[in-house]
Amino acid sequence: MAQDSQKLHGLLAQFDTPADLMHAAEMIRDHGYSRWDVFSPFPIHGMDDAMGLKNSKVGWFTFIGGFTGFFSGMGMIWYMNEFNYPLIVGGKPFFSPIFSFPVAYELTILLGAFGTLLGMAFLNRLPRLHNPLLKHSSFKRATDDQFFLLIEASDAKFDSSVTRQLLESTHPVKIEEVQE
Amino acid sequence: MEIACTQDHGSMEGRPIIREANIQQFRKHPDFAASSMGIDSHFPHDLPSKVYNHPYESYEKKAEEKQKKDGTTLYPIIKSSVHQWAMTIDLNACTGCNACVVSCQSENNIPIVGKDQVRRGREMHWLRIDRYFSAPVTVPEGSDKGKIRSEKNLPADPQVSVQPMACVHCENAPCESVCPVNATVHDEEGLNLMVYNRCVGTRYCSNNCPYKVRRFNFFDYNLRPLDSLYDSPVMLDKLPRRPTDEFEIAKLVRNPDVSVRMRGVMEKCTYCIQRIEGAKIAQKIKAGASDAVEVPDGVVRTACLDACPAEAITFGNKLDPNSAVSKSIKNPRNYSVLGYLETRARTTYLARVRNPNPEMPDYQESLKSPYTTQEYFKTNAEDPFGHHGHHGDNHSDHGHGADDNHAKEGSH
Amino acid sequence: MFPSFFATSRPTRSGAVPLLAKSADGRPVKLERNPLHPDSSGTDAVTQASLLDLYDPDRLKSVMQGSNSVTRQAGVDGLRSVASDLEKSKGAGYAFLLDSVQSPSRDRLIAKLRSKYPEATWHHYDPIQPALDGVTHKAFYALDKADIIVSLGADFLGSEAESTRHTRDFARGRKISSVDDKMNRLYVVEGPMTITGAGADHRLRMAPSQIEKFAAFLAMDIITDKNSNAESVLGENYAKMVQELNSIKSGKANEGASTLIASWSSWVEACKNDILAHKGHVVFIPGSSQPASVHLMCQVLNALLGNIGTTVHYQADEAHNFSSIQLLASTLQSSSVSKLIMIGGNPVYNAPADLGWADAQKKATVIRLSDRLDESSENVAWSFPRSHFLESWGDARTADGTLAAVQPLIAPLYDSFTDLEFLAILGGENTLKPHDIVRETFKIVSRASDADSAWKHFLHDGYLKDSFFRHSKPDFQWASFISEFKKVSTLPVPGKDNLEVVFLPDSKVEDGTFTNNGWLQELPDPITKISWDNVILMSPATAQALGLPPSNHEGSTKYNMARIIEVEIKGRKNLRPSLDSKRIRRLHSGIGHGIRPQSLWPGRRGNRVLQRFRCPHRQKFLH
Repeated sequence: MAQDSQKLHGLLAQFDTPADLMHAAEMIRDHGYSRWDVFSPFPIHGMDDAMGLKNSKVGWFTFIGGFTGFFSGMGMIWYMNEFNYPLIVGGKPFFSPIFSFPVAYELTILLGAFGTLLGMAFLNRLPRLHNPLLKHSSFKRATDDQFFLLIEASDAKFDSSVTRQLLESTHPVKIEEVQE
Repeated sequence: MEIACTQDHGSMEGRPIIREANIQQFRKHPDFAASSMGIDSHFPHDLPSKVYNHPYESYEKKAEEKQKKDGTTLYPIIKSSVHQWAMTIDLNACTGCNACVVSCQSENNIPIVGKDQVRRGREMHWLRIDRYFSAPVTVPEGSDKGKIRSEKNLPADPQVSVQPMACVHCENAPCESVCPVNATVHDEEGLNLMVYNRCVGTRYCSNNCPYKVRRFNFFDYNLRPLDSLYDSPVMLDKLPRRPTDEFEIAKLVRNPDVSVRMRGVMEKCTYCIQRIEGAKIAQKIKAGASDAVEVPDGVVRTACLDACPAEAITFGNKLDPNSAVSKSIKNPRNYSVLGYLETRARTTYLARVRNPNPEMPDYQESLKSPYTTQEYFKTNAEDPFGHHGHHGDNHSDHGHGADDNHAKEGSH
Repeated sequence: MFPSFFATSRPTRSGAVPLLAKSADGRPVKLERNPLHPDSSGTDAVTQASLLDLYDPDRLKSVMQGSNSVTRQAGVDGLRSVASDLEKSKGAGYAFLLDSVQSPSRDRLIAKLRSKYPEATWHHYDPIQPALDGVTHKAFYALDKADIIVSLGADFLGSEAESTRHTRDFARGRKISSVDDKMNRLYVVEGPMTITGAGADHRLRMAPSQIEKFAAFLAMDIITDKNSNAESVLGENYAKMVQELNSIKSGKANEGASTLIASWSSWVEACKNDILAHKGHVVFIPGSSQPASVHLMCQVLNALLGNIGTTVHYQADEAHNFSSIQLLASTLQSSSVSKLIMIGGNPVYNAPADLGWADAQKKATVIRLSDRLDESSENVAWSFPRSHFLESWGDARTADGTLAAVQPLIAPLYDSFTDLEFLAILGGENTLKPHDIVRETFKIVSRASDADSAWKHFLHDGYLKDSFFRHSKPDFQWASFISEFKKVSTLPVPGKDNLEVVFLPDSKVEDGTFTNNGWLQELPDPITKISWDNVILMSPATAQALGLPPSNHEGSTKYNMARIIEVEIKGRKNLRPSLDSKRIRRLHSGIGHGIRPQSLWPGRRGNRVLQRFRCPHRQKFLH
C-alpha cells in the first residue's frame, strides 16, 4: 500500500463500549504485549488491572536523587571545611553532621524533587514533541464516544498480520494503521 | 548639659572581674585569684569529656603522631608549633594613665569620633581602661541601712581599681561563631582575626562579645569631618569645607602598616599583628635557609606594651617556657576575666594585691579585704579567704551563707 | 619598604622624654620609647599624642606681619631689623617672655643675648610650674629603692614631672610573684582624686590648702620621736624647727584647725611608726603646687631619715634669673617696656586674670613665635610659626641631666622657625642653622676628642652617655628653713560658706596647650572618664551642703547630665548661666603660690573651660 512507504506507528482498534475495550485489553495483556495503550473519554475502573500495570518506577528516581543530595551536601561541607580550607571559627570543630545538616537536608529535598520530576518525564518518554495519533482522523472520537486501543509497532511482539488478527479477535468496530 | 562620659556603668554585677586581695591574704593564699574567686574556681579539675575537641587539640594530636611517624608537618597547619601569642596585664602595676590608649590609637589609625558620638557610646578606642570605685559594703545607718549603696549616701572615700581591657583573643571566641559572613576567624598562632573586607556590619559579633571590646565604625569617621557625619553623600559637596590640603595634612599621621577602615566595618585589637608579622618576616630573613624562625622573646612589642610606663603589659610566645609572658602566666596571681565562660582568653590578668598597713585607722579589721572583694563576698555569699578558701579542693561548699563567723580566718 | 627608627626626644617643661620615632614614607608615624636611654620608661599619653600636633591643620603656616602672610625671607629680614634695633639700644625697652623648655642650646643662646643686650628684661611664665622662692634644691626620686612612699599632694604618677619614670620605678616595687616578694607601700595625702591617690594603699583626703598643716603635723611627729635621731642631725636648730612646725600645724590659730588635726592624729601616728620602721627606704614627695614650706618639710624628713642617696637625690637648683610675668605686666602697663618678644605660651589665655594681660599686651609691639594663631595673637606685629619638635633640630636634657638629641623626622612642613633659629637671628649670630647650633653645644658639653664620631653616636643613641648630673650630698642650711617656715601664713579651713576652688592641670590638655589635639580630647579622663568636656567637680557632701541635688534626679532617665552652676571668684564669674544660680563666695583664691584663679574663655577652638575647678572634698563625677 501507499502508506507502507511511511513508517508504521501502530495498529489502532476502535471500540464502542468500555466493556469491549476492557476485554480487549485483557486479551492483549495476556498475549504479552508491552508497548500498547488504551484511550477513553473517561476513566474506566479496573483498566489498570486489565492492562496489567504495576506500580510506577518514579520512586526509585526520587530515592537516588535524595541519596545523592544528602551525601553530596555532607561531603561538600566536609571537603570545604576540613580538607580544603580549614578555618578555626570560635573553636568549633571543622566538620559536624549537626551543622552540615541544613545544607544536606536542603539538597536531599532538591535533588529528590528533581529525581521525581525528571524520572517521571523519562519514564513517560517525555519531552515528546508530537504524537502521531493526533493527526489520525478517527482518533478525535477518543474524547467523544469511542474507545481505542493502540499497539505500537515498536513492540517486540509486533507483527502486522499476527497482531492484526489478535485485534480482530477482540471484535473492534474497526482496525486502522497509524502512520508516524 | 550632657557630658560625654565613656564609663557610666560601675558595677561588676557580682562577678569577680577585678580580683584583689591585701598582701596578708595573698601570703596565705597566693593563688586566691584563680582558685578562690569566681565560678571557674569551682570547676573540678578533671572535667568530663567535652562534646567536641577544639581544633587546636585535635590537630595537635594528629600532628604529633605524624611527626613521630615520618617527621613531617601535617598541612594545613592549624596550630603553629612555633608561636602562640599571649599577653598578661599586671593590675598591680597599672595606674590607669591612658598612655596605652593613645599609643594604640596612634599605631592603628583609630579615628576620632567627636563628643556627640562618644555620648552615644561609639568611641573607637580599641583599648579601654575600666575604672571601678568600691566602698564599704553596706549603708551602716540611716533610712537606707542595709542597702548596698544609697543615693543619699555616696561613698566619701572609695577605693579605685583600674583594668585595661582590649580584645583578649579567646580561643573559643563567641564573636567568631556568630558572624553570618565568617568575617572573623582564628589564626594558627592564637590570634582572633578580623577580616575588614568581608564584614558587612551585622554587629552580631560585638553583641556576643562578653568583654565588649569590639568597635564599629558607624559613620566613616576616618574620612568624614565630624560635623557632617549624618549628612548624605550628596550634601557633602555642598557644605562649606576647609581647604582639602589642610585635611590632607592630617592624614599624614596615619601608620601605613595598618589599614584604614571604612564605615560599616567592625574592628578590634589585633595584638598589633602588623608588628608580629614584621618580626616574623625579619626573623625569616635572618634565618635564611635554617629552621630558626622563632621570633626571640621581647622582639615583638605591641603598641600598648611599648607605651606603658609601668611595664604592666607583657606579651610574647606562650610556647617558649622562658619567655616573660610564660613566666607571668605561671604567676600565682594570674587569672582570666570571665574565665567561667570557657572563652579561653589569651590575655590574662595578674590580680591586684594591695599593701595596707594593719595599724592604720582605715584598715577594716573585721573584713581585711579590699572593698571589691568584700562586695564579692556579700553578693556571692562566700569568703574567698575563709577556711573554705581553697575551692579547688572541695566542691561541696557552695552557698553557706553570709555568715560572719566564716570571715574570721583560721577559725577552724 | 621597612620603616626606619630615629632617636629623638620630646622637650617638656621638666625634662625631655627620650623617644624612638618610627618613620615611614619619609614622615614620622609613631613615637616609642628609646630603649637605649637608661631612664626610658614608656611614654605618657601626651607624648604619644604630640605626633598629631605635627600634622595639625590649624598650625600657623606662614609668617604673619600683622594680618598679612609674608614669605619666610621677609620674616627673617624682619627679625634681622629687630636684631639691629636691639643692638643699637642694647635691649632697652625690650622684654622677652619665654615658656619652659629644658634646652642647653636655647640656654646658651639666651645667655649670649643677655650679655649682648643687657638692658632687655627676661621673663618666664608657665601656668603649671610655679616658681617657689625658698626652695633651693630640686629632687630626683628613685622610687624603686623605696619601701614606703609618702605623697603630700603630689600626683607623681600622673601630672607631675617625670611621671613615666616614677610610674616605672613605683611599679617595680609592686609586682610580686611569690609570697616572699616584698611590696612597697604608698601613703597619699591629697585633695581631688588623682591616679596617684587611686593607686594608694592609704589615702587621706583633705583640702589642698590644709596639706601644709598636715605635713607640719607629720614632720613634727617624726622629728620629736626618739627613734628618728633628729636632734643629732638638726643640732641647735632642733628646738626652733619644732616650734615653727608646731605653729604651722596649729594653723597659726586658725579656727577649725584643731578639730581637723584631731581627726588626723591616729592616721599620722600609724604612718609615723611605719615610716620609722623603714628608715633609709622611705621617701617624702611634695606636690609641685604645694607651697615652699611643704617642700622644705619633705627635705628635712628625707634628710633625717637617711633617704638621701638611696630613694632621693637633691640637686642645687640653677638660678635661671627670669623675672615673673607679673613684673612684665606692670612694666608693660607703665610703658617702660614697649616691645615684647614672646616665645611660645599663650598668656592672654592662661595668665592670671588679675593681671589684665590682654590690655597690657596691646600696649606693646609684639613679636611672637607660636605654633598657631590663638588668643595671644591678636594685634601682634609679627607672628612666626614655631616648629614642632619632630621637624626640628634641637637638644634637651632629661630630668637627670643627660643631654638628649632632638632630631627632625621630616623637613619642616611650613615656613616655621625653631626657637634656636629665632634666637640666633635676634642675637645677630653667625651660626643660624639649628643643626649647627646644636652641634656647637654638643662640642661644649661633651668635650669629646673625636667630635665627629661622638656626634654620630649621640644622634644614633639619642643621648650623650654619662652626661647626667652628678649628685652630691646637699648642704641644707637648717636656719634658712626655719626662716622660711616663719614666713608661712596658713590658710583657713574651708567650709560650706568658704569653699576652696582648686585649679588643676588637666591630665590631657595640661594648661590648654593641647585643646586642639583630638586624641587627647577624646581620651577619657582617668578618674571621671569624661571626654571632650570639662566640669566642675565637687564631692557629694559639698553638693548636699550647698543644696544641689544630683543632676539626674526627679526620675530623669538621662545619664551624664551635668548641672550648670555659676562660680564667682573675687567678683569674676564664669561665663555660663546657671540653672539655679548660687553665688559661691570665696575668701581666698585657690592655693595661692603661683596658681591663681583664671577667667574662662570660650577659646577659639570652640572648647570651653580648660581649667578644672575642683572643690576639695572627695568628688565624684557630676551626675
